[in-house]
Amino acid sequence: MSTLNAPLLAGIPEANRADVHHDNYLTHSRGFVSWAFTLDHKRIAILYLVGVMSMFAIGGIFALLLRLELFTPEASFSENPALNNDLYNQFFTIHGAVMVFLFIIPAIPAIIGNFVLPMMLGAKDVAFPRLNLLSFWIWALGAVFFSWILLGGGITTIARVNMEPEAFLAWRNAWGWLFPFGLDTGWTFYTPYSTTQSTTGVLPATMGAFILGFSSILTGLNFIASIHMLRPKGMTWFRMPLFLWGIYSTAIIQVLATPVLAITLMLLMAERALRIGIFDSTLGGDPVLYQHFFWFYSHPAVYIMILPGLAVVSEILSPMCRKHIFGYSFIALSSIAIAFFSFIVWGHHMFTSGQSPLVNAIFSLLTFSVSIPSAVKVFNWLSTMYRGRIMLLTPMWYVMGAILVFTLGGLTGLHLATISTDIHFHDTYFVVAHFHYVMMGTTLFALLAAFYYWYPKMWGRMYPERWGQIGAIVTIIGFNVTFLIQFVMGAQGMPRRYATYETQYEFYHQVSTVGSWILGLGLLIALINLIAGRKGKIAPPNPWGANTLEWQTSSPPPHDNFKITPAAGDPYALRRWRFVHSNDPAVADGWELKPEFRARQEAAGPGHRVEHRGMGDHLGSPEKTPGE
Amino acid sequence: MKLLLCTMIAILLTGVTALAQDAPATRPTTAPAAEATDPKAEKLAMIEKIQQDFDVPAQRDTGLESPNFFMPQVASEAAPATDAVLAYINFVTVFFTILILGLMFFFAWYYRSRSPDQPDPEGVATHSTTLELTWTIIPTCIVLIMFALGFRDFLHQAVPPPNAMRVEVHGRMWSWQFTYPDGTVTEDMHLPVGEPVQFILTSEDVIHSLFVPAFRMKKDVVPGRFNTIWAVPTVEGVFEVYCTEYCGTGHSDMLAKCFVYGEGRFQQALAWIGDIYTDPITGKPRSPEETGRALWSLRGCRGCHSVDGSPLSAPTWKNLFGAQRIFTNGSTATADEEYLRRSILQPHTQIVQGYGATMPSFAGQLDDRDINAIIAYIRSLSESQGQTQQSGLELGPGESQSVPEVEPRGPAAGQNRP
Repeated sequence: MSTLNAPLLAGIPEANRADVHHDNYLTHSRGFVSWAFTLDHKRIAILYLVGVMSMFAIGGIFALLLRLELFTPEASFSENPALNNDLYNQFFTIHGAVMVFLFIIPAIPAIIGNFVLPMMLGAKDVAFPRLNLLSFWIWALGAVFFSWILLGGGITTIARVNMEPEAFLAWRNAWGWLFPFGLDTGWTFYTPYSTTQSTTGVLPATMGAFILGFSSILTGLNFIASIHMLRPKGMTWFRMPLFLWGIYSTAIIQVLATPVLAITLMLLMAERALRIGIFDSTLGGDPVLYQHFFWFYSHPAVYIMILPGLAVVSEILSPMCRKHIFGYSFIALSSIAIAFFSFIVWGHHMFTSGQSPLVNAIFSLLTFSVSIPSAVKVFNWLSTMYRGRIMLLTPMWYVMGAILVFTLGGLTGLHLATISTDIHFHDTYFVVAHFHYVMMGTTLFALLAAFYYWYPKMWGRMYPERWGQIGAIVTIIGFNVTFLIQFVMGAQGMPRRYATYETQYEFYHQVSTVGSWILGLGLLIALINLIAGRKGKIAPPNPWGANTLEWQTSSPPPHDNFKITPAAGDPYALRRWRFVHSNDPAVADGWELKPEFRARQEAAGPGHRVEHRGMGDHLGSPEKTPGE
Repeated sequence: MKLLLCTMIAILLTGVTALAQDAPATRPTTAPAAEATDPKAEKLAMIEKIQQDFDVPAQRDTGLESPNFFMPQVASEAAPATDAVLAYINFVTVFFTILILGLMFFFAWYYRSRSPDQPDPEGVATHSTTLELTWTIIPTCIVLIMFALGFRDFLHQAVPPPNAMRVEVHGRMWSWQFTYPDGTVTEDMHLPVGEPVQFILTSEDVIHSLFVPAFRMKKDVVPGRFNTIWAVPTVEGVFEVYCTEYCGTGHSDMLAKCFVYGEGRFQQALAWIGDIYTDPITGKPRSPEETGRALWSLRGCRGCHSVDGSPLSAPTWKNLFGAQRIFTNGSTATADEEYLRRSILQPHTQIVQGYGATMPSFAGQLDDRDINAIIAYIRSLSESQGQTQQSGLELGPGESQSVPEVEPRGPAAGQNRP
């Protein structure tokens, strides 16, 4: 660094100003082994990025195929109705299972959380780096089980189409153990269909989900330990970035709820393989018990999927609006409140199952409680935008997309929480639209916002802005065309998981299918844009002028993040930093402090840094905790 | 701010008023007749026949009578109440959608960064406990009203009146069976207008769910449980009945119709539809084969046994009669009258290789006349029926016949089973 820039870098410890383009985590070491067995949280994040997004691509292709089949009311995959329906059933099951277990649950915590969390803490890594690597490989093992099902399903289907039925029967008896016939239970594995009727790969799939659960638990444990133990000087609980509050809430759910899924899937496997009567009524069990067990995990799991998304929105909004986040403590506590409420609302999945009216009433009342912290978050986001200086860049477009779909998804949740109307909407396309809005829409848009927001930090380059925005707008439009009309279709009575349907629903299905193509196109633009960005402009260390600690190191960060742990202040005190996402080449390799701060820094002399605290500024030494 | 507060209070008041009111009365409609869309011609003929003979209007147009334009036809006592609650929820959600998204897009446009040199905003408040409490307490009150409205109607739906007609509903893969108090068994739902009907739901295999959109009525059909739900149809017509819990290959074919008859025509229709020994269209007595075919459809045999040789989860009936059967224990038998009768009444004693022991026993459900009719129908589907008939119980030429082309769907064929 030239001495000319020295005042510019005043807020940054000298040692952290490594020459970024000579040593960073991407170039630190080379070769397959250095990646596959890395303990660096940033590299593990990249491993997850490749794996999880590949699974997203597979799930997405199946989604497009599903929508294609539904373009016409009749069977469109095959002349043979049984074959057509079986294919359709397998496709929606694979779509759901891959998206839920392999994509949404790990998406933000494992990719973005792994990359950003230790740096936000000013730490060199997570609390248990080896455990972190183990989490990834457990995830990969789970993915292998699902890939096995995909492969087996493909081969068996080819055999089924091409062989005489008799020969096919013989072939399956001989090779069925090696090639599971896909999966057709729905991602929920409802009994007794999954234990007594399905001839598909229920055991490999449940085994895969069981294994993936451990990956989730270990990641959650790691994050909880990291947040408790590794916070730097000055970072009190209520000075943590909101992203960490979201990840912390998520991690609590992961650790507490996922073991229930593991036990439930074990019982399911035992029943299917050994005929133990737990869920099968012919053996003295109760199928509704399975639903209770399953949703006791899977409803909290819905918040494992969405809380990180909401956390990303809360995190990105402040620097993009150039304004301190509004209602910090309410946003932080609302994440904890959502995590808590998520454990006591599972029964709303069974309003029509025949559980007692009293239980239904209690769960309906409790379900409404989730809407309050969600509303608090949304109103605080709006207040943050109020009188801001809003940078309408790609991350901000995705953040607005996420707020849009979360609002629509959240409000339609009220229709489903009210018992009498839920009776009508249950298991129709209304529910399909609702959970795609909250889970898929919000999480996907937040994930894309995070990809763009942390892109400079992750790759050291700026993405192409114009095409980034085009991709964002096309994606948001495509998503809403696909799913908004499904609310109407569901209200009209169209049940979910139907391969063929009555002609009165044809128009809605066709609009939805066209929407899925727009959505696919938008995502393709985003993918190409993100890949093209690798050759983009060299990124400054702090392009968004944010005050969280991950921006106080070079882009991309060196192998061990920081030579000296930076001191933390108010994470949303943006007033120290200038927004340098501009075409000004002078700032491309520097941190840029606001002129007034630069002046104050110079006045304070070397060894001191200008601290920001609450609404006012004060001068403090880096050794001193700002709260003192 | 004040405006926002006033509007929220207005919403609260609307909800309180809605809570105080009783469900609005239903107005029966005379919607124009629309053409049925069932692909099966037979079913279509049936529906037309019922519509003509029993003066049932076809009501397929949606939403005209509901306060919510996107809801289906209102045809039960509970439906207008549900729609009224829905109207309140829609009012609240549309209001908040416009408020939130309107503000978001307005802020994004109005407060957009106008130039790279524009200074960041200074001195804007970063918290306000008053605001936080406002948008915590008011939504809480609004959702509490929603809960109360929804629970009131749900409670009403959960407690059937004592004088309700009890209809047993059997769900199975993949057809419905409705049994009326007089013992009549039908594939479709037949109901009198204006009278409470209680449905007692149970399943023979996996979980299904009975859904009549026009009644806003849904309940899961769970094996090993007797769930119950009730409704009062208020409009004559033909309505859709769906299965809404995923139940396998034929889930989207598990459809039925709900016929609602006017004053005095219900008993008449039930007697007519329940007489399986008479052809409903022509009015002539059915031959045993024709009766067998009707039972194949009515009793759900068609869910697993095809009659055209196509592979389903159980052996096809085409060319079954007189064929040689190989069982899981290695023994063999010829499919004759004795074998078929035993298979219907004690299906688990002999399981054909490649299939699972999934068929329920029909002992007590079918009498001798019905069983003979089914056997006659199976025999009529076999090319060699004449010869086998002559040879009686002896091993016939069917021995040399090829095994029907089948595809395994039963669990025993699965590779995951021990």
